[in-house]
Amino acid sequence: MIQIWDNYLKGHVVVFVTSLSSLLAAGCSSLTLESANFSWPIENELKVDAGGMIQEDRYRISFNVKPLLYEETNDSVNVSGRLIDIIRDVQGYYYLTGPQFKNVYVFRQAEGCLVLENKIAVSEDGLLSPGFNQRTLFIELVDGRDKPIMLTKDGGKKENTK
Amino acid sequence: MRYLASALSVICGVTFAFVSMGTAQVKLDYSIVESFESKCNDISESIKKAATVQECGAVSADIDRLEKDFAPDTVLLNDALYPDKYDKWISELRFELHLSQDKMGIIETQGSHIGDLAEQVRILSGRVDSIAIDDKRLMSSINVMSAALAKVTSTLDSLTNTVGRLQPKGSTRQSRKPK
Repeated sequence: MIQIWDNYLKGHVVVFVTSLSSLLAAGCSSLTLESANFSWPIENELKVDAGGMIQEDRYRISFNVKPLLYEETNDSVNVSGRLIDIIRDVQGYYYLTGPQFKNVYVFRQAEGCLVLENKIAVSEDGLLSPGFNQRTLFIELVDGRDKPIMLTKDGGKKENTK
Repeated sequence: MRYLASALSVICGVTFAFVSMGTAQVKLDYSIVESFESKCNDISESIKKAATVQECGAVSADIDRLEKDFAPDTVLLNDALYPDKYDKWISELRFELHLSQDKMGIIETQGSHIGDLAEQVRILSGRVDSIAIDDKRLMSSINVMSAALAKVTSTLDSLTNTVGRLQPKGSTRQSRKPK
């Protein structure tokens, strides 16, 4: 009787282990869709609302920028009406900055949020009226008559002399 | 001395050119797209406001200029404009202008008809005025003649009465006859 029960149990264990292996194998096999291009052709200048939200209409993206404004200005209260410049590069990273910002923030998309990838210092006195241009291998930061700066997600920063 | 002056001016010119190049403002792609959209909207407004064929012609020239000015940025505009592409924007403007010109043609044709009709009305009004004057004159003549007729009738009646009174009665005459 014990032998029968033991065999029955072993059979179930074998089935369980086989199923689990199949599931793990399926989960681990990576299906990759390549040559993806997430780039936005032009930047967008978005106004922060009273709740600290910005909304981009063409790509239907919205998020709260209060933590970003606090990080940059130490003020997360007077946020209404502030302008945020945003663009997405080919790899899908978001670049954010704004007037009076000293940094450009690079974010990557995660589940229900944007996670800071890099913070790039670009101006000691703060930008005046910044804007981004989409370029093939980098994002170009333009601010008035200052020379444009080429940015990458890793923080690469180089004056564009072209 | 003259050579020195010209050499100096050339050096100054070259230096200025370099400085200008160095400080030249890099255009934002966003502002190019915004400027294109804004100019298209202005032209669209001009099409709506155009009231003559000449004004439509001016707008057509504006569209040509717009196309020429933004020709170097067509790739950017095709990528950036959404949902319609650059070519669609331009063709939409031309289509709007075409419709406006058609309307203008109809209005001008009708305007010409209205002008002809107005001229006819003016001529007929003149005739009506002239007829009214004639009518007045005729009425006046009729009144004068009626008055004259009344007078004549009255005179005739009076004369008839007088004649009647003066005419000897038949019997009275016979009695006066000498025997």
